[in-house]
Amino acid sequence: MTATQELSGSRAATSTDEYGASRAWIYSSIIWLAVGTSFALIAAIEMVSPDFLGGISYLEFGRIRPIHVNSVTFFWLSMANIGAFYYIVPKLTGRPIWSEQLAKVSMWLWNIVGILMVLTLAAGFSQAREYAEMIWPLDIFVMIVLLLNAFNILMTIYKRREKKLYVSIWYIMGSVVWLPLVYAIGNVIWSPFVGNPDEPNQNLFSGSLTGINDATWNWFYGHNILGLWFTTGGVALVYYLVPVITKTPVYSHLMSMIGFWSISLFYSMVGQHHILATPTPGYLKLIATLGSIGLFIPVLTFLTNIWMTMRGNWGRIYASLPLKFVLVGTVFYFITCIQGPFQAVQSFNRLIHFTNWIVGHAHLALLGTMTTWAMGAIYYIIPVTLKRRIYSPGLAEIQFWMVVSGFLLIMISLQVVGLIQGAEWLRGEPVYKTVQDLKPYFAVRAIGGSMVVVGAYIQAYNIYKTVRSGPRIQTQMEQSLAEVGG
Amino acid sequence: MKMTFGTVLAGAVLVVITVVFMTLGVSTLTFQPLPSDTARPLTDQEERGRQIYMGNGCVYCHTQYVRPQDWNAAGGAKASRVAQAGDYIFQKTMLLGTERTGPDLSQEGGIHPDDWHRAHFTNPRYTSPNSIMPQFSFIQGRELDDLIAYVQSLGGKAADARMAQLKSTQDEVMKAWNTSYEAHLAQIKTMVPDSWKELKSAVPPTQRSLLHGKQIFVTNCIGCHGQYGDSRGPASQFMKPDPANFTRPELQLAASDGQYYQYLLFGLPGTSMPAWGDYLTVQDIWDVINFLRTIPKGGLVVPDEQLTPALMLQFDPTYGKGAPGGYQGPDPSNSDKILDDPLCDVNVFPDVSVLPGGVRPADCQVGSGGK
Repeated sequence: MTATQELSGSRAATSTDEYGASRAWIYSSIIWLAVGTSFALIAAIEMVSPDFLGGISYLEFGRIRPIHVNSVTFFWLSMANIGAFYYIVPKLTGRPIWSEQLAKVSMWLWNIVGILMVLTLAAGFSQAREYAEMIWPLDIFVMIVLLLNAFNILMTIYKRREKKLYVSIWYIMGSVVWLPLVYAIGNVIWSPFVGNPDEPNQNLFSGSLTGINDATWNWFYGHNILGLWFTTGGVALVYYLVPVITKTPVYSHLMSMIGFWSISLFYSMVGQHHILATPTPGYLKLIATLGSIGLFIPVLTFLTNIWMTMRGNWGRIYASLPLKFVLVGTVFYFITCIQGPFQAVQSFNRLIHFTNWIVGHAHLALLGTMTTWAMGAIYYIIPVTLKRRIYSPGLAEIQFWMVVSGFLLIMISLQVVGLIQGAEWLRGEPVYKTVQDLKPYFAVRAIGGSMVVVGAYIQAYNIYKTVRSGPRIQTQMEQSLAEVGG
Repeated sequence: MKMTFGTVLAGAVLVVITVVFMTLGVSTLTFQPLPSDTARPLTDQEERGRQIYMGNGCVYCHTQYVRPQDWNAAGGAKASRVAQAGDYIFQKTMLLGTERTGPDLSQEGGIHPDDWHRAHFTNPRYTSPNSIMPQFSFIQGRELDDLIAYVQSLGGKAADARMAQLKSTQDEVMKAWNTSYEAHLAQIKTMVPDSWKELKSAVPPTQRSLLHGKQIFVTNCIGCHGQYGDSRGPASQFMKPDPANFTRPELQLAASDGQYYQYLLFGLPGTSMPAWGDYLTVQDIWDVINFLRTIPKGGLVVPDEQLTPALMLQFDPTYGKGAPGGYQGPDPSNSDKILDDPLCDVNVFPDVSVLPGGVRPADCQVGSGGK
């Protein structure tokens, strides 16, 4: 049997099946990105034109916003990352995933959680804790899926054939363990609040504490869901994709190690920097500020490591679409992590706290950085595992520019108006007066947002067409090319 | 260091658990503030309102804590207060918020009466035309009552005190309102210090002043006072007593400039009229007051070029003459436009029909001087 037959024949199907779970998670994530950004666009238009869809309870801004945030974080980014883990882990451990079946079951359960999330939030059931809006019964559901996933991935790694653990594996192990830990702690999952059953409006489940300490727990969660899940998950993808695509070993093992241990130490400290001006214990704020500055260490070691790995390979970004996504993401990661520590310092925090600067910063991290990394991973994994070339590289290119330039419009408009808001408040202007300043910038944000939505739909279409009718990879040569992302 | 399965797993968990104990653990065990002077538990109704507040995502735009550097975030001059840990002692789930797209609400209780909130929740543009808050017209009946009760509880005991004050003033105002319009006018006059009662506008009524006043009126006031100044703005359906009807001559003749100034600066207690002192400058307020005087004779309907001091009720052509920027007397080229026939005034202002489409005596056209 020749190599060509082996790749194109029926055996191709069996050999791709071991990544079926990976692709299933990725397909779901792509749909959730389209859903989540569509909700975002509605919310953005409502911010410019508040009577747009006015009076429709389930499309009211305050209900749409958490649907957007939860869709794009838990159901786009998380699913894309987990999908990528189910590809990377078998590759790096030299064995198939411990239970393909369990991975697929978790995928379906996770999607059910997502649908319930949309329905409950639209119906007005929310914990009103940012990033943790899903009500308590859903929290339990989420925890079960997270633990199933963590178990599956850890078992695969534990029973590996390749003895040495590559840096991506550390980050994946860390992420899948930290996420359930952070989720359970931050949601105060052992203390559900079941309102008075005689009062239907009050019958709302919400894990939380009483008193101001609850805010500390909330923001421990709010930041660590980013720091110990999205960031570490994304870093794992980059540490896999860049060396594989450039066929270059990672520049420094020592730097990888410093980065990993310092991220786990410093990131868990920083939650309080979201509420620096609250009447909470001062030492928590000190720890948070120092931890935030300490984050320069993991960020700079990671970026140096990746960019040094790229030495002599920079030309590859013109040839490899996944590499282009990933490296543009690292540039935005750099900007994110320069802004972050400064935001956590009291003097700058005074100016930008409570303003739209923060919303811009959140999009910088989750859209500019993590989303482009996840898109890079998708454009790498789908062709390699499916043995089909991307249906339209041109469309993917349009998607890249739509997402990147749309995102830049969002970030720049929000951060500019954030500085305006902050300066006016410090001058003593009441909030009602500064609302008028937001409008033109919010219009720019909505335009940028609609470009990202177009990008999300292009991705969904392109991947759908790739699965259906992407040109089959026929030769060993083409397969090798796919494996270097090009 | 060898990164084995055990090292990575145990290390990752131990580092994070240690930090969790250091921060969350220690602070929760040791930081147990006492109730502050204003803290109180919520009633059942307020708690229900809080659930509505949570379910509708109010927390994404409204903060509930005032930072030391905010001196105009919550309640303005009326109720500013920097947050204390003891304020939150009875609350389960913190609603501190992270974005301040709308005003801080930590001291919102008792700033506005229930009527105002009812109009504002139905459509925030009714009372606050620049607002970008969503309509909450789908919250009605008991749910709306609960939500308003919650909002009026924000600020704890300080809010209760403001509410008690507000309710007792409201009773006085309503008593006079239900008696007669004259009693109402007399009653609201009692809320103004004597020294302000005879105060005349500090800004001479130039055309520029009137145009500026008109601009402020149409961008801020018409939600309640109506686009013709006739108290028929969309928010007025929720309000008792009615918002001021500036087309009524009794009101315009009874109220002095200083009296209007007081109501604009501090609000009119017992009614839905809010304090505008935080939003408008002194000049803005005087310009609006000058402009209000033109409403009975069509200040809101005539084209801008016809909006001259001559349209003002009780216009004194000598007022401010010679003062820098003051009114310099009638433009000689245009002197016939000065309305100087008192009879004509009498004919016009008792009749709200100065409004478009209304009937006006043919010999008394606005701006023609009635000659």
